[in-house]
Amino acid sequence: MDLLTLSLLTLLLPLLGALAVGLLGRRLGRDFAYVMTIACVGGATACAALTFVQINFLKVPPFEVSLYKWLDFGVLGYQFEVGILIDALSSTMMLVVTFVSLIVHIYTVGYMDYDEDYPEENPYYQRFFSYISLFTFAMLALVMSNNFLQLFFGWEAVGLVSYLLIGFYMKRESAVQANLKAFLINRVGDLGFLLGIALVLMVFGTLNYGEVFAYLNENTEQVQSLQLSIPWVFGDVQWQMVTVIAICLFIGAMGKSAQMPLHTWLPESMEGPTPISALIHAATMVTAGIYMVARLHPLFLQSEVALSMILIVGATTAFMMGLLGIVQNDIKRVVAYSTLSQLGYMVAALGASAFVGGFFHVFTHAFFKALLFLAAGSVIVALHHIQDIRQMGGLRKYMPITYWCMLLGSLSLIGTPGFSGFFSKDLILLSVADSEIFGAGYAHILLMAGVFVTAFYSFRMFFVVFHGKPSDEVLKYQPKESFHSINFSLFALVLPSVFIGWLVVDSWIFGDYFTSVMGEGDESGGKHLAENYANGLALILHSPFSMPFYLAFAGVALAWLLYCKSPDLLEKMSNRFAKVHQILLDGYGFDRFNQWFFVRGSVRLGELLWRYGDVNIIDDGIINRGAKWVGGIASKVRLMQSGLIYHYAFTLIIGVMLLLGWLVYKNIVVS
Amino acid sequence: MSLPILSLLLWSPALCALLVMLCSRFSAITAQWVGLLGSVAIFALSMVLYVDFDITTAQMQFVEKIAWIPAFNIHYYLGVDGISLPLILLSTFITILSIASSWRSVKKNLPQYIALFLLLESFILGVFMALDAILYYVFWEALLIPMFLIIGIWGGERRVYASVKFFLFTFFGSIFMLVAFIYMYYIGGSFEIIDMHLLPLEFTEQGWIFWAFFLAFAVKIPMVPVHTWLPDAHVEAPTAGSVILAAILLKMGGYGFIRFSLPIVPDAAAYFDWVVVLLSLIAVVYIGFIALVQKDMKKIIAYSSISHMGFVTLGFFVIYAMPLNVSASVLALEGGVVQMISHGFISAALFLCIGVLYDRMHSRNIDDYGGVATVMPAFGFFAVLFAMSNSGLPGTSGFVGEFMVILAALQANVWWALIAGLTLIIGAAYTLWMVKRVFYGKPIAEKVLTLQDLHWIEKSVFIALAFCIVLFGFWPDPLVDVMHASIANLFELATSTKISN
Repeated sequence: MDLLTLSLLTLLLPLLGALAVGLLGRRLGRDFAYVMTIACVGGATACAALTFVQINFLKVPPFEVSLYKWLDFGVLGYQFEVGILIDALSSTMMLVVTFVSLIVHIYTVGYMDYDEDYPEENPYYQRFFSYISLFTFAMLALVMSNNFLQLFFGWEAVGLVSYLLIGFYMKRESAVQANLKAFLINRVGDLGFLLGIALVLMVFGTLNYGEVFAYLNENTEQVQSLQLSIPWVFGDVQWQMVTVIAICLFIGAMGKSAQMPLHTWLPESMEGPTPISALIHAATMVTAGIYMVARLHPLFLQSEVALSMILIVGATTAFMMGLLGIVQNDIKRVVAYSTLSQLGYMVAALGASAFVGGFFHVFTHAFFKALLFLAAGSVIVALHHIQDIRQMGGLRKYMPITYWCMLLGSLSLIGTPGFSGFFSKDLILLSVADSEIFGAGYAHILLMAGVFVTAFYSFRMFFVVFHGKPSDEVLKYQPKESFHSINFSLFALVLPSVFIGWLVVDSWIFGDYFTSVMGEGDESGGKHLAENYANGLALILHSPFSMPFYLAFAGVALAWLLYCKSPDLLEKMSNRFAKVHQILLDGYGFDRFNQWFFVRGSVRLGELLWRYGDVNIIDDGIINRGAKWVGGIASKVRLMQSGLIYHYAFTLIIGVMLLLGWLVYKNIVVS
Repeated sequence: MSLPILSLLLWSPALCALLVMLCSRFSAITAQWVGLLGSVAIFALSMVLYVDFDITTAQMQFVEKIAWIPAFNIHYYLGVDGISLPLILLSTFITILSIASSWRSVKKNLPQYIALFLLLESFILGVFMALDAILYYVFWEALLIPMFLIIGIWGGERRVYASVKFFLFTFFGSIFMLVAFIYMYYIGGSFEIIDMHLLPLEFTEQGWIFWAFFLAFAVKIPMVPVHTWLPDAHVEAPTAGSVILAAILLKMGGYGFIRFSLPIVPDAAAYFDWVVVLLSLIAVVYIGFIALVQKDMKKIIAYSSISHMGFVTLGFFVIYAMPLNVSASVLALEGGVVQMISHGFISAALFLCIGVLYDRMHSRNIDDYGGVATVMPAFGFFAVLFAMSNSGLPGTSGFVGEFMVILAALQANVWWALIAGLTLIIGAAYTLWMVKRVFYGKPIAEKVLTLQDLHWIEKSVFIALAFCIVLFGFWPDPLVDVMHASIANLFELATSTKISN
């Protein structure tokens, strides 16, 4: 099949599944729901794999096609199209999205089967499958887009499905609170994104990637010198245009990829069912921001200021959010903060111009983080929806498969040499270490410290959940490995979590895999990567002589010491650092501030404006008073209509006299 | 002479209304069917207009012109161009839905109610078709009567206050418009709108005429600070009344701005553009915050309408802040029109949603609800879809107009785009917060637990609206295609000076 057919099938099959199950699922039942969606997404995965093979192994040239005209102004100006762009970057991401989505679909069959809250006749099961297929479609639309408009379409559409899925348990107050919050915070980012798109249209006159980059390439200096004048109180302020564009677009990425300070929605998104936490809030949607920056990197490369900002935001998020992961007791929240922290790593990589490196981490992270979430979900199912790790413990004996999967996933996450996560994270650290832009030193320190923190919180959770003495709840429920579909999904993700980094690192980083898409200006692994290391193996061999290795080791060791070896020490430590602990539990107060300033502030402002603006001033002050005033005059004027003929006659005479007098005055006196 | 299709379309609703009244003397149910099928037939007739429409020309099409009052050179003069055509189709479409939705919800004098809506449809079509200012004015004022009756008879508790307020506001504004027309007749000798477009006017004259028009249209659309009649009217109006009011009557204000203000007084419009832009931006933000704190669902949607109409006026007047920028100006103007059409669908859908709830619970108070989606899943689906389009989600028509206007406004002034763009957050906040409180959560109230999901009539109405909203979200091109020629012509008129030297 040719690329057009393949890519269209990849895009549309999940949509077909979503529509079929969404519209007919209630009538056709649960089995139909999962068979249909898994078949569709499976087909999409196969097509994506074929596309991937064609582009990456058969070296078919990148492929771009416009599907239809969304808006066409013809001679009057702009054109907005919907189209597809398939190259090394998008085909890789397509494969990741469809693959993880397929695994999550399969996992869901078992996971959602168990739910006391919803009776059999409620089509919530079908709805769930419909939603995740719909999400897959939206994410693919985002990834495969060849223009900014469709990117924004996909961007908002994944946000919509995320909203629906976070609030999936819609009877639960905390869930519907969380989805509203997620949507609104994302909207803040989207506003920046939209303005960025508008600026792109203004400068380049088109929203097509290829046309924008071609123009940028040919007129680099002219674009560099463009200034955006922003009217301000003291006259216009001049900003470099590309910097403003890059920062606006990045604000969008901050919303979707949950970078500080727009991160607070992600931990709460854990209110959604676990499969979607794995798919949406770990593997795919939240990495859309990183994908976007990598995709648009020619624009970002034009502005060092923007890159600095990206680097600093990313590194700060990576470290600060990692710290918060240490104090969480909800198993999903630990993984969520871990995701936040890892997203920070990816973003920091972008800031250091390591676009391939950042994307590499998106790629490996998709597998091991999905694995961690699904393993956590396995625990949650086995324990009848207990999520507090303090009520777990000693699960190793009860759930050996989950235990090993979680262990391998965690090892990959903390960057154990040879595991997938190792390559991508090491490359990010190398790139940032070599970067010379403003903030690089700061970022490097934080990211290094982050390695320790990552290892610590990952293994804290691991030890608390799987080692130690079983809690009362564990003894009560006697958890065991659950459905086959769950175990199958875990296996399917373990393999890439462990091996895929090694498989691809030579061609991606040391080879020319991404040269055509992101080669120019990319500094993954630092400027002298090729001189220092020959290939992936060299990276592994070098790792025992580098800091991150020992930092990760120290993190694991400390976790072991505190949570396995001597709990007394833990108690002492937490008493000692009670204040810090409190701050961390509080999440640095972001939520409290948002609640106070934005939520309560807006409502207060709205009430003020309504009461004093609309009701008091406009309605009572002007309209109703005006009406009364008119009424008052009317009641006076009415007196004139007395109905007595002599009154009218008298008025008439007076009037005629006045008129005559005025004419006489005008004619005699003036002339 | 070919078939006078415009006259046919214009008067058939009124005839149908007559027929409904006649039938109602024998059987109410026959009368209802006559009304419903009649409105469908009228919509089909208006589609003929769409099919035969020539998109390559900015000329008025299907023109009919007959002397009406020769002494004052007043004509019965009808015609359609790319700006009025979408509004005509919107009107005929929405009328079907408003009649269908009344089917079950109006218990009192339903045939008369339906007849009034058909009569209203005639007058609305007249407004969008008239090419003679006096004819236009007659229709403009005439439609106050059925609307006044609909609110005044079938309305809520404070219906008298609301209907009088509605009447006075609109009437107050339009008087000045009439004076402006008469003034232009006085110097130009013609009431034809196309002649007025070409009538040379000095700046001072233009200024007076501009403000006269502004009062009429700003009240109608409505703009801050003359908007307070709208929430009251909506709250007291019956469901279908709110639908027509929000979906169509407001659009007459927007239509007035581009049919009269921009082309007739371009210099004054260019000079006073900042007033309109400022008020539009205030509408987006100030009204958005007010919508946030309303307890009555209808008030939220009413304020939301005002806020969304801010994009229409912003799109129309932002063109003066970027002279010579044809592509952005066209984008802005068409964005304004697209926003009008899209808001027609969305506001209708949302008012119908509230109607569905009100029919069952007799309350519009948010606090009385909670967890409705659990009890009424099909309804919940539609409501969330419509709420999302009200928050401007891409893939729904609500996104298209706002997107176009924001993109264009940025080229005029970064701040305007930023402030207008705040609707992304505020609009989503008030809409989805309402959705959360009404549809999500645990159904606690006893009355909620016994709610019945959608009846098939309600469902069909929602499917029709959802279809339009999603269709134009994914493929708005056919909508703007018909406008291009007329908008280009409008841009030409709106940006060429009329001052003699």
